[in-house]
Amino acid sequence: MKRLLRGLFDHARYHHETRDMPAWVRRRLYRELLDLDEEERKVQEMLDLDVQPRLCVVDEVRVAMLRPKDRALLNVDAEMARAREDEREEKRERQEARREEDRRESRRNEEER
Amino acid sequence: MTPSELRFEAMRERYQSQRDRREEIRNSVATPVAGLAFAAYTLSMVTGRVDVTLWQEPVTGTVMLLAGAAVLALLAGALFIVRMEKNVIYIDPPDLQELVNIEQQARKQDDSEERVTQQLQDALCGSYDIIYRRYFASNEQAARDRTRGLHLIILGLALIMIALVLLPFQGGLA
Repeated sequence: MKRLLRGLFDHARYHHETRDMPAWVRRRLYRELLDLDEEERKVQEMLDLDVQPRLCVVDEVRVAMLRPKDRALLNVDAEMARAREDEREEKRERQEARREEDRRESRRNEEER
Repeated sequence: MTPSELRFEAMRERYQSQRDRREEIRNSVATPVAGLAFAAYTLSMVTGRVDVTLWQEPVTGTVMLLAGAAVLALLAGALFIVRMEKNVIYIDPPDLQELVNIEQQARKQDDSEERVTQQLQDALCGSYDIIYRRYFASNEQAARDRTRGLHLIILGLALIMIALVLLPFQGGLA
């Protein structure tokens, strides 16, 4: 019972403190961050900026914020490595699906000829 | 006005409009939630009056089926409303430290005030564009979930109303 009540008041009590976030929350934020990073790079190229404009990622429910300066520290996080691996995997799958679609399209074109 | 200023103003307005829309969507949850509370109250009237022992009677059976379907519709509606705000990750423009960093980097390349201002404006303009697109997508999702939730709650209410109309005829007309 004590444990349950402690869990209930955790959020309010520790708002002012920096605490470790659960792995699944970190992973979710990192995935968002990786997507964001790509978009920021595109914006940098498009507007010919000296540096990439880095944004803040906020999870209101878990009261978590990843500021631009925090990004340098994330490379040592195991969850970040996993999020990167997931992203690479997804990209590979997307590329394969695209290639498959192209092959089908070319086959269809040949048949039509 | 320079092109950079124009871009900045246009994107800031779009970003602001999506932020306001987010708040509007959040506030509009009150309507389906009130509908849900009213439906729960009306449902209690049906369940309190239905005679379960007569479940084999066509009218009583129909009333019970309608009440069951209404409960399912209301729960599904509530789920949509809860899902609306779940797992939303917000993106905010660069913080002060990052803006100072952008300014310092720009000064390293060329110290003219005009160029530094333009770099900062463009960095903010690009940030607003990214945030606008993300907010737009998440707002669309939230608005769709809210509308679906509302529709399901209205369906639940309609089913309860039909059940209430049928209730006096339970046990046959005789």
